[in-house]
Amino acid sequence: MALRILEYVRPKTLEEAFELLQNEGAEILGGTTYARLSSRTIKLAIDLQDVGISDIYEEDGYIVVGAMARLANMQFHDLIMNYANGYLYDAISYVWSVQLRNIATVGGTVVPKWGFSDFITAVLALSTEVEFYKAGRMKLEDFLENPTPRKDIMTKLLIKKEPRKASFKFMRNSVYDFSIVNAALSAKEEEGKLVDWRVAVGARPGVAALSRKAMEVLNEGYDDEHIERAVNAMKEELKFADDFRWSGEYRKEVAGVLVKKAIGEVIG
Amino acid sequence: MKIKVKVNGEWKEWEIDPSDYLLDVLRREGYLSVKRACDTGTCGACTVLVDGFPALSCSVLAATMDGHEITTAEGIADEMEEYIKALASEGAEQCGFCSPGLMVMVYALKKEIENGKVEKNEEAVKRYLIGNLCRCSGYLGQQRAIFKFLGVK
Ligand SMILES: Cc1cc2nc3c(=O)[nH]c(=O)nc-3n(C[C@H](O)[C@H](O)[C@H](O)COP(=O)(O)OP(=O)(O)OC[C@H]3O[C@@H](n4cnc5c(N)ncnc54)[C@H](O)[C@@H]3O)c2cc1C
Ligand code: FES
Ligand code: FES
Repeated sequence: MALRILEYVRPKTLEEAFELLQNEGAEILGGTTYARLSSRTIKLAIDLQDVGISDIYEEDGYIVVGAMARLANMQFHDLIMNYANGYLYDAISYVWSVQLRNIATVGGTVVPKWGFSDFITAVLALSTEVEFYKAGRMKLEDFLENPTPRKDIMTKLLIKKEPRKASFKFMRNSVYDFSIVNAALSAKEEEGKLVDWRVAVGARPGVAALSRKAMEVLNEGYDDEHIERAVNAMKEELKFADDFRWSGEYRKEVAGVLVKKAIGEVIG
Repeated sequence: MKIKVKVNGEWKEWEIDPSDYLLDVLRREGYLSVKRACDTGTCGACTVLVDGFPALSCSVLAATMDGHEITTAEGIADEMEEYIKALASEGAEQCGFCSPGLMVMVYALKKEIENGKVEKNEEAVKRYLIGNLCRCSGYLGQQRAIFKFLGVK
């Protein structure tokens, strides 16, 4: 069985879309690329392309990315290409193919919290927030660590525009495959120092998470001894599990190597 | 339900089911260059341009295309004559099933290079085309033809 849609609507406003979503069996459509792989019936499919949440712009010190922006629009936007030395431009370029990135949306990528996601790991390593129509604005890590707002619409991804150095690393069997484990790091540049480190590891195979213990260690210092301690803290703190691709134990070791390499790149 | 789409420069009005994917509709309407292979977003055989940008027609709901512009390999064949000749002279085709999707991608790539969005070098070209799989050729003939057509040294 494939995906079955009984009724399709294209509301003009977010208010209208939200009201429609409250109907039983109603669901939001992003780019429909992943929804396509499932076998279920959607009674009412709500297409958000006309509700005005596709733009990318700067506001109050944040890069704001509408939830209906396509991954490719985001990748090639000047605000993204010029941010943190093109870090996100590069990370997004590893999401499958050009043809997929031209369709897949930011909302459809963040809301399902897929473990394999490269995108979520990459944005989690920055100071990022998400905004929902009803539930409002929250830190990305709070969104990932708590139940997803039910029957709600993600409207924006907000990336704080601050001077950050960042690095994204992954391990996969070939470039055109899913990450078996991935890691992203960033630190803020302040008066010649690197502060406010963020360490995210994804595809463990669970969804990306921050290693707060590793962040604490790096905030104390980033010489060789601190780097070693940060890597060990990350390996102790985060859960790694087996799946059909790799064992959790192997993932953990590789994650350690990726984090160490990424710290090296951020330090420069 | 009804959708209006501009296909290869001509407006069409089609009756579709809300569950139809663009690939199903295009093939049903006779655009047979658009191929179904993996049907999961991986192989690129179904690639068409949506509003000028390459997209996987197997993964886009046809209903969402109302008001949009679609270009298939049929619509660019004349402009791509040099590329087709390069494919032939490099012996780059075997069964040919992947060729229309790849041609659409090479067309888009040429425009991206002209707009300065993609660099004109081997690495950038290979990365742009990563989503087009070919099960027969081993890629080398295609690579020679594409580099020749784009002028990649
Ligand atoms: C073949 C394939 C390969 C992929 N490879 C990679 C990869 O290498 N790396 C990677 O990081 N990702 C990868 N992805 C994931 C991809 O980046 C997208 O995340 C995914 O395809 C979904 O995007 P979409 O916009 O099509 O979402 P859809 O399929 O339309 O939606 C997904 C879910 O999100 C919900 N949703 C969508 N938008 C909203 C919103 N605004 N508010 C609330 N709910 C919403 C929908 O209801 C649905 O449940 C891959 C996907 C596919 C299909
Ligand atoms: S048929 Fe669409 S990507 Fe393979
Ligand atoms: S020539 Fe047969 S799939 Fe490419």
